[in-house]
Amino acid sequence: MRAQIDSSATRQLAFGLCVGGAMLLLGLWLNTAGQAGFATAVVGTLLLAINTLQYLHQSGRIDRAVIITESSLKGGTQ
Amino acid sequence: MTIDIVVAFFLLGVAARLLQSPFTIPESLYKSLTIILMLAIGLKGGMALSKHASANIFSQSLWVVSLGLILPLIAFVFAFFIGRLKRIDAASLAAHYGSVSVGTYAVAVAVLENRQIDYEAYFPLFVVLLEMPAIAVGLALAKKQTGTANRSQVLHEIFLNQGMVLMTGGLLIGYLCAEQMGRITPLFIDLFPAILALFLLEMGMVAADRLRALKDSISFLITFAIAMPLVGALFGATIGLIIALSQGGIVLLAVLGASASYIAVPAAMRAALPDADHGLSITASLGVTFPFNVIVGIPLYITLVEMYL
Repeated sequence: MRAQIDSSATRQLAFGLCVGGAMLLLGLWLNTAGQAGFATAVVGTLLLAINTLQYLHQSGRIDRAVIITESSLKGGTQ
Repeated sequence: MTIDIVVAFFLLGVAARLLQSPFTIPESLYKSLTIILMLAIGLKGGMALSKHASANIFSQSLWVVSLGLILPLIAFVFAFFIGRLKRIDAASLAAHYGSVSVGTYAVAVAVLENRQIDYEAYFPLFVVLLEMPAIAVGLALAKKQTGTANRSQVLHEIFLNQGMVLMTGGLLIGYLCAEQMGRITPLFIDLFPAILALFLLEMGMVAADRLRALKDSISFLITFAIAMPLVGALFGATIGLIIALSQGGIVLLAVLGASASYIAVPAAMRAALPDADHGLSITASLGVTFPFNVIVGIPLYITLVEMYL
């Protein structure tokens, strides 16, 4: 069951990284060509970020509750 | 960075919802705007068709229909094999992404006219043609055995849904009564950009609501809803090149390939596949793909077509 979840999550991560990476490169290339590619690059970056975070969360490497708690604790000590 | 004025109305709608403004557009006004938009698109296409009707348009139409058959297959592969969605949900999602969004098409037309880029005026014919094939492919992919009553209900939804009736009717009226069009142009042609702006104000609010509904499996659905427009635009632009459309025509076919239905197909799928998760499809098409196309996609497709052609 765990292997099945990992395989599915890895496949989705690969898909997300391909699409996000392609959009980031396309946006950067448009910018260097003097065209408006900023929005495309931003969307690509967001895709890379949410797919990586979702994969880390699904594979148990990070926990949403832990992130929230750690952020709260850091906020509290400042 | 210049924002198209009709797109600015969409952003106003999104901002109003995100800031939790109690402002709403009355349901009856939204329905009226939709009816006027669909009729206007059909009428404009019918008028153009009366001037340009030829055998060439027939062969172009066949290529356009092939786009509506290919895209749901690609969408199904992504959703079923990568997203690991249930077969019925993947098929429903595929039907949405093989069909077209009249709202996205209307925005693309407004942007092209604002930038004074010419396109084939009979394009609404292609919009009508692209509504149907994806629904049939989606149902075939779902491998659903529908009963006789259900099947007739599905056929009724496919051929007699609001979009089909109004756009096909508008096309016929525009084609047959082209000389008398001057009597109704103040509402359907002159006011088109203003009506579209009001429609987009409402769509901005709906899209913001839909985005909030995304919870789990958020990353795949968002990635899918952004990848499919890019793939669809690529196929649309390629077919546009094959059938020798103008620069504006290639952009419009790319936009049609990139758009996903959120009016006609949801109604047909609800009747044909009642067990599918319809919230998934409408959230992806309206919450992600529509805003992506309006804000990022359309300018991107225009830029790429202008750079290469």
